[in-house]
Amino acid sequence: MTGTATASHFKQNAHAALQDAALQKALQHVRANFIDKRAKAVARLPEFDALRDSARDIKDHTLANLDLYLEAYEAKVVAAGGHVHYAMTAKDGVDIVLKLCRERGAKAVTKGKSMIAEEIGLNAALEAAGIDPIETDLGEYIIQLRGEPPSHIIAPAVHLNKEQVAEDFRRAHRDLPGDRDLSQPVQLLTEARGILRDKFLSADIGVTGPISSSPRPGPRSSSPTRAMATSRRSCPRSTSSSPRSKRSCRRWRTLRNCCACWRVRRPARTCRSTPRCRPGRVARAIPTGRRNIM
Amino acid sequence: MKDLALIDIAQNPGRAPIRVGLFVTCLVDLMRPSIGFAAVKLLEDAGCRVHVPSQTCCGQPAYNSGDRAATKQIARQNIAAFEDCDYVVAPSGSCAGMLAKHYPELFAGEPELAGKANAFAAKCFELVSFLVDVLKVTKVSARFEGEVAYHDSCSGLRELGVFSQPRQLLASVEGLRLVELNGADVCCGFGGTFAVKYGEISDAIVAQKTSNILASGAPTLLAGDLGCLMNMAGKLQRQGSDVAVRHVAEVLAGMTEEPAIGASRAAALSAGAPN
Repeated sequence: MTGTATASHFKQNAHAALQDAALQKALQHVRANFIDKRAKAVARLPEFDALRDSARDIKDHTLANLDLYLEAYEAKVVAAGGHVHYAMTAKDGVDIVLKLCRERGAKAVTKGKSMIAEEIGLNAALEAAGIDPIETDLGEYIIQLRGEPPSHIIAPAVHLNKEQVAEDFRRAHRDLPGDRDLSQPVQLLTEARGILRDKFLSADIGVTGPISSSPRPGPRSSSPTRAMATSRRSCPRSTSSSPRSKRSCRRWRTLRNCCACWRVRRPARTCRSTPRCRPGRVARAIPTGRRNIM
Repeated sequence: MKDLALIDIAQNPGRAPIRVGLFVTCLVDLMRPSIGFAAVKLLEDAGCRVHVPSQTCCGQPAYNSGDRAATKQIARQNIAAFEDCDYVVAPSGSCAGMLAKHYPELFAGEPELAGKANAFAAKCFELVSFLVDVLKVTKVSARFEGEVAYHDSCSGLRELGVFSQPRQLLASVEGLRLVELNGADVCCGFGGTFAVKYGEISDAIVAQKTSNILASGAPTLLAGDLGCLMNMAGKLQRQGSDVAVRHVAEVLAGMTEEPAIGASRAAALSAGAPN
């Protein structure tokens, strides 16, 4: 993990956060940017609740039958010319990525926003190996400059104000003229885009996490059995103690780790990370077609 | 969605009155019984025969604290207590949500009890949604002068879909004008044991809520859950506000003789007769 667990200091942390004027100011934007915009989007989609329930049911179903779906997914990936690596632990996941980077002689890795990468501490591991991880999501890029963990799964820099971001850019972007106006969000975006464009072009490997993966091609499939191995941060059944739930949780761990099946340009030839992946067996993953979008 | 027509009242006008078990809830029993009496009046006015069997807590504090064994014991007790009732109705979305949504989860792994829990859950309702959705009540005969703001409690809104029903019945109260409450569907910060465990965060949340309440300009605040009401009333009082806080059932039943929540009897008397 890149972050340090602070659950035991929650009350002290909350106290400090409540006294933090800059943070409280930033959080004022949440209402307009999240809640109101979401309400407007929901209003345009009368079937919103039904769709959400359907997505939940698909996810629950998939997690309850994860082994089948993972194997089906894997078969499709292999058929498409890709490789899948199974990682049982966070360290295994990191090691697989490092190995692929080393084989490629990579010096710089561009990253799409990934919570799995965050949770397994990929950036720190890459840095320790002399590889430069470059966050390309604007929010993730900002907090990377600050050395902070994301404050929210889809809004990693929601705790910051634009003035703080401008300061960070002035500190980190050495070629930035001192008199450049960075007072507006669009100016910050333009500045980050300029820096990141060069980094995209010079990167050796791209890494991203899957939000959802399906063994069935086509965006319009509406079958309830459609596989959807989704990436979530915690096991939805982890509070339950039934045997079925424990099984789900085991599968969940497998899924989480499989989310470390990074889509990289040049996958490894072998995988030893799970008992099912016998040494020497050709490892699998990564639809090669994905390369085009990385 | 559960089948609302367990007993089709509309098509059987001549049948014996349906037997409703009132799940009083701890807070109503201990803090404000007038809400229970208002619930009885509303149910009886709608033609129900109301029973109040010996009962306990719904088990939610234990459940939310992770004590499943104690929760199950409480749940079994409540399921048995209301066995001979056609419906179980609570003047609380939070407790009704526990009965209707979480009891089935609690016994999901135990086939014998799961059936009972599911059948019990199917007959459990929050008071106002029961009046509107099941009994098909469209209006009440009550009078209340002035503007009111309505707060949607989390469990009632999100677990049970209680949103339009209270507004619909409030619209039929003579003299009452419902005003827009900004962020009506946002948590008040109570959250049961949350308010105790994380008082400082709870306080910050309720401060936002009361600022919206004050901005609405309504002299009266209503909601369907006493926990939320006490939380908001407590904050308003400490802020020196004289907004009167009441359970929606009191207004719908026309039973507002009781001083508002948190208001002392003496203060209510000196301020003149309450609504």
